[in-house]
Amino acid sequence: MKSTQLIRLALKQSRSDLLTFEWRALLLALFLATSLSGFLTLLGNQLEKGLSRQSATMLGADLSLSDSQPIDEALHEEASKLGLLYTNVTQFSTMVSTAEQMLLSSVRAVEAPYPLRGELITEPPQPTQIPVAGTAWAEQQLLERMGIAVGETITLGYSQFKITAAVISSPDRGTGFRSFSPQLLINREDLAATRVIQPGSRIGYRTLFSGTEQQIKGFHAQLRQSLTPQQRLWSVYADQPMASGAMENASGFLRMTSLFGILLCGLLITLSLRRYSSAQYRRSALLQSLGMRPRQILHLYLLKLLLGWTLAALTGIIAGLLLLQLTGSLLQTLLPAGLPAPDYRLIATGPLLSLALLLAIGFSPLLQISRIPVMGLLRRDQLSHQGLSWPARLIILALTGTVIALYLGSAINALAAILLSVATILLAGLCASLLLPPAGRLLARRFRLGRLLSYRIRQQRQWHRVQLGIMCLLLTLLSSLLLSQTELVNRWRAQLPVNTPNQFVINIQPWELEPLNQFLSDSDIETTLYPMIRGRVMLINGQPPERVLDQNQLENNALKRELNLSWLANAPKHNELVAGVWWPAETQENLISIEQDLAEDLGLTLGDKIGFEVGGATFDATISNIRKVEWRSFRPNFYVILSPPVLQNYPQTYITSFRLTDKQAGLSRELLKQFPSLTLIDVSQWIDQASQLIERLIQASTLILGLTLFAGLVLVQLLVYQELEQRRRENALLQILGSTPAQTRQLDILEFALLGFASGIMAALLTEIITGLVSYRLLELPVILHPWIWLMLPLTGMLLFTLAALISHRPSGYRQLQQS
Amino acid sequence: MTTPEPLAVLIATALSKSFPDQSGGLDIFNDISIHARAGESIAIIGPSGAGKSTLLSILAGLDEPSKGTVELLGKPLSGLDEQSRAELRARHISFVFQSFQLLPELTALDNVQLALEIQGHPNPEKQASYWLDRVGLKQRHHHTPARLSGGEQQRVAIARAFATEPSLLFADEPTGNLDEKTGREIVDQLFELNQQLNTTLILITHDAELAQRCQRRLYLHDGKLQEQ
Repeated sequence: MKSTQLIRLALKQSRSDLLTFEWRALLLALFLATSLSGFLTLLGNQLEKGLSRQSATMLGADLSLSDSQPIDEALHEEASKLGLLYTNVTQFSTMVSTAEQMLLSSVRAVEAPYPLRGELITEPPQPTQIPVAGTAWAEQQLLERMGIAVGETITLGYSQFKITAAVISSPDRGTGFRSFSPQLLINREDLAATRVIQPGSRIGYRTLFSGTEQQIKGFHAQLRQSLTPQQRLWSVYADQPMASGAMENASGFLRMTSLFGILLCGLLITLSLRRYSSAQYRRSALLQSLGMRPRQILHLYLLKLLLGWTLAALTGIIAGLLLLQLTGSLLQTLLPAGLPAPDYRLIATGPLLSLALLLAIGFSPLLQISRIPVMGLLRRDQLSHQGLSWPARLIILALTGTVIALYLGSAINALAAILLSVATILLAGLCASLLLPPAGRLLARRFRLGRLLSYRIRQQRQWHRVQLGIMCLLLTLLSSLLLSQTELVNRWRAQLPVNTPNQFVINIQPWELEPLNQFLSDSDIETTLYPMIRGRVMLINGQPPERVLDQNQLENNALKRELNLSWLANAPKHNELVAGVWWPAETQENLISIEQDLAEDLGLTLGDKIGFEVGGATFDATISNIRKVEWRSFRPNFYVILSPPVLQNYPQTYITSFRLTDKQAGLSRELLKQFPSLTLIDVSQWIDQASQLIERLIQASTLILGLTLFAGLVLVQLLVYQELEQRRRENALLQILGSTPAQTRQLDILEFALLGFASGIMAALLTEIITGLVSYRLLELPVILHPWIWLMLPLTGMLLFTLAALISHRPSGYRQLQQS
Repeated sequence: MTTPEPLAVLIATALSKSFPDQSGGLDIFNDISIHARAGESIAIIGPSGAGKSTLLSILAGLDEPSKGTVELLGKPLSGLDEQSRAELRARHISFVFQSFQLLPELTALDNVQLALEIQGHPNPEKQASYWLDRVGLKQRHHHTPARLSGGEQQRVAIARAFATEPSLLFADEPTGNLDEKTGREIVDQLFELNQQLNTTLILITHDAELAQRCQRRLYLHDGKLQEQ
C-alpha cells in the first residue's frame, strides 16, 4: 500500500471517526490540553512581564547599581557599548530649611533621562523630565511639614531652590532609611554649588540602567562578578524589589495549576484512547484480513492521531488566544500599568505539549491495535484488550513525566507533582470507595433499588476508585482555594492586632526622651521608647565565628553587618521567652536575650558567650534567655537585647512605634515641627500596598484556578458520559431482567449521587488537612475545623455528579444488547 | 376423557411494525399472529433483517407494535404501564442471548443472583447456587465471565434464565457464538429444562437443525409469518 493511499484512507476514516464518541472525547482532551497549557503559558508570561515592569517602575529602571562611592565611569562606557541606557542619581539626607523651619530630608540629585522606567508625576505637570537647574520638586509631605507651598524657596546647603512642583508619585525612592524621609529632587548640575557633599558625608550613589531583557541579564551577570562589598545590585529579572517572591509564586502557581489540568487531560487521553483502540480492534483485524501489514496499520493509526491532533491543536490555539483576551480584560486592573502583551511565540507550548502527551500515552494502544490477530474476526475473545506489561507502563509514565518536566522546567517539581497527584487520586479514591459498600448495604435494606446498587458498587469498584479520586481532587482544590481565599487571608489579617503600629520614629536623641514622652502622652499615644546602638558580633564563646561555625552558619546576615542592639531592664511585652529567664532589673552582669531563629541558626544556647564590638570597644556577654519575636507585629524588635549595665554608657539613640488613626494624621506634622531632627516613618502605606498586591494575586489565581477547575469538571462530565454510554448495555440487560427504564435511570443517578457524596466526604477530610497544614506551617495560625465543608462538599459532589449523569443519560433498549 | 388444552402463555394478534423513514414509513412486518402454549417450543426462523429480533422485543413487552395486541398470560401488554410490564418480565419472561450478556465484573453467582434480586426472590443466593449446580457449574460459582469458556458462559445465562422460573423463555441465536459440540450441549440443556419446567420456549435461529427440534417452526419473510 502506497503512502498516498494510506493518507487517503486515514483521512477517510478520520471523518467517520468523528461520529464516534471515543474519538470526539480524545479530540476534546487534546483540545483542552492545547488550549489550557497554551493559555496558561501565555498568561504566566504576561504576568511575569507585567510584574517585572511594575518592579521596574518602582526601581525606575531595569537594573540599579548603588554604591557609597561614586560609580566608576568605565561602567557607564561599558553600558553604552552594550546599548544600554543609563542615568546617575546621587542621594543623601540633609536638613532643608526656610526662614522658619528645618526638616531632615532625603535629597535626590538627578540627571536626564530620568526615570528610565515608570513615571514621575508632579503637580502641576512639568514640561521637563527633571527639575530645571536652580529649581526643586518636593514631595507633598515635605511641603506640609515645612508649611510651604509650590512657588516658595528653600535653602539647601549654600544654595537656594525655588519649588516649582509637588511630587505626587515617583519611582526610585532609594532604599533604607533615606527612602523614609520626605524627598526633594534637584538637578545634578546644582549639586556642587550646595557644598553639602563633604569628605565623610554619607552619600548614596547609583546608576540606573535600562535595556532589553537579554541586555540587562547579560550586564547583570557581568556586574555581579565585580561587585565590591559596598555595592548593591538590583535587577527586575532577578530581585523583584517590589514583591520579592510574589512573582515567582504566581508563576509557579500558574504552572502547577496547568499541571493539574494537564494531568486531567492526560487521564482523559488515556481513557478515551483505550476505549477508541478497543473499538478499533475489529477494524484492525479486518484490515489485516484484507492484506494490510501490522506496520501499515500502525502508520495508518498514527496518521489518524496526527490528523486529530492537528484539528484539536488549531482549535485549541484559537481558544487559548480567546481566553487570553478574556482574562486580559479582566486582569487589566491587576497591575497599575496594565498587562503587557505576552510573547505570542509561547502559544506553541500548547500544541507541542498535547502532541507530546498524545505520543507518550498513545503509542502503546496503537501498537495493540496493530497487533490484533486476524482470528479476532472469527473469535471475539481474541479481540479482548491485552493489559500493558509493567515495563511498558513504566515507560509511558516516564515519557509522560518527561513531557511534564520539560513543560514545568523542573524534573523534581514534575516528579513531585505527578507522584502527589497520582497518589492523592489513588489514595483518596481507595479511601472514598471504602465508603460505598456500607452505604450500598444500608440502602439495600431500605429500597429494592438499593440491592441493585450494591451489585453496581461491587461491579464497578475499579472505575469508581478512579472517578472518586479525580472528583476528590477537584473538590479539594475548589474548597481549599475558597478557604484560603476567604478564611485564611482574613484570619491572617485579623491576627494583626487592631492597634498595630503604623508609625516608626527613629533618631530620637537622649535629651529628647522626656519632652517626646510628654508630647506622646499629651496626644493619648501610649508607647515605649527603646534605646538602640549598632554593634557587630566579633566572637562566639571566645573564638572568631570562622573557627566555631560552619560555612552555612557563616552566611547568616547577622554576622555580616552591624546589628541594632538594645538594652532593657524588663522583658519586652510583645516578645515571648522560650528558654531561660529574664534577668533581674538591677542585675550587674553582662547578659544577652537572643532571638530564637538567630540562636538556632548559629547553634547558640543558654550560657554561650558572644563578643561584640561597639564604637571601637569590645565586650562579652552571656546568653541568659531566648525570645520568640513576632516580626510582623510592627513594633521595635531586636535580635539581641542586652542587660542595662553593658551598653547604657555608650552613645545611643532611641526608637519607638505607635499607631495613628486617620483622624490623628495631623499629629505627625506637629511632632516633626516640635522635634525636627526625628525621622518619622509612615508604614501604613506599605501595609496597604502589600494588602492590595496580595488581593490582586489572589483574584488572578482564583480566576485561573477556576478555569482549570472548569476544565476538570468538563472532564468529569466526559468521564460520566463515557461511562453511561457503557452502562446502556447494562441497563438494557436490567430492563430485560425486569427493571423499568425509570428504575435503571434512578439507579444511575443514585450511584452517581453516592459517588459524589463519598468523594465530598473524602474531599472535606483532605481540605481540613491541607488548610490545617497551611494554617499551622505557613501562617502559624491555630488549626480550626470547618463543620460546614463536611456538609457542603458532599452536597456539591452529589449535585455535580447527579447533574453530569442527568445531562449524559440516554435511554437504552433491546438494541444495545443486539449490538454488543 | 380428553386432556385439558394447555394454557395459552402468549397470544399476539395482528401485529404490525413500521419505522418512520423519508419515504413515509418502513414496514418491518404486517398482520402477524402467534399463539404459544405452556411448555411449547417454537422456532422463529428467517433471513437476516426480516425483523425477528424486533418481533421478539415486541413479544417481550420491550417495544410497542405499530398495530395489534400482545397478551401475556392473559394480560394485554398494551394496557399495562411500564412498571407492570417490567414486573411481568421479571416474573414470567427470561432471555438467552447469542453473546451471553453477562456482566463482566460480576461472578457467575452474582450474575444469576442479579436476576433473582430484580424479581424480588426471597432467597436469591440459594436459588442462584442451586441453578448453577444444575447446569453443571458447581465449581464455577465465583468465576467471572472472563475466566469461563463460551459454553460455560452460556450455561450461566441459562441458569440465570431458568432461576426465575419463567413461563416464557426467549432464546435469540443461543448457539451463534459456540462451537458445534458445545452448541449441541447447550441446546440439549435448553430443551431438557423446557420440558421439565413446562416453560414455553421461543427460539430465534438461523440453524435449520435447531429449528427442527422445536415443536413448531414459524418462518418470517417479507413481513409475513408462515407456519411451516
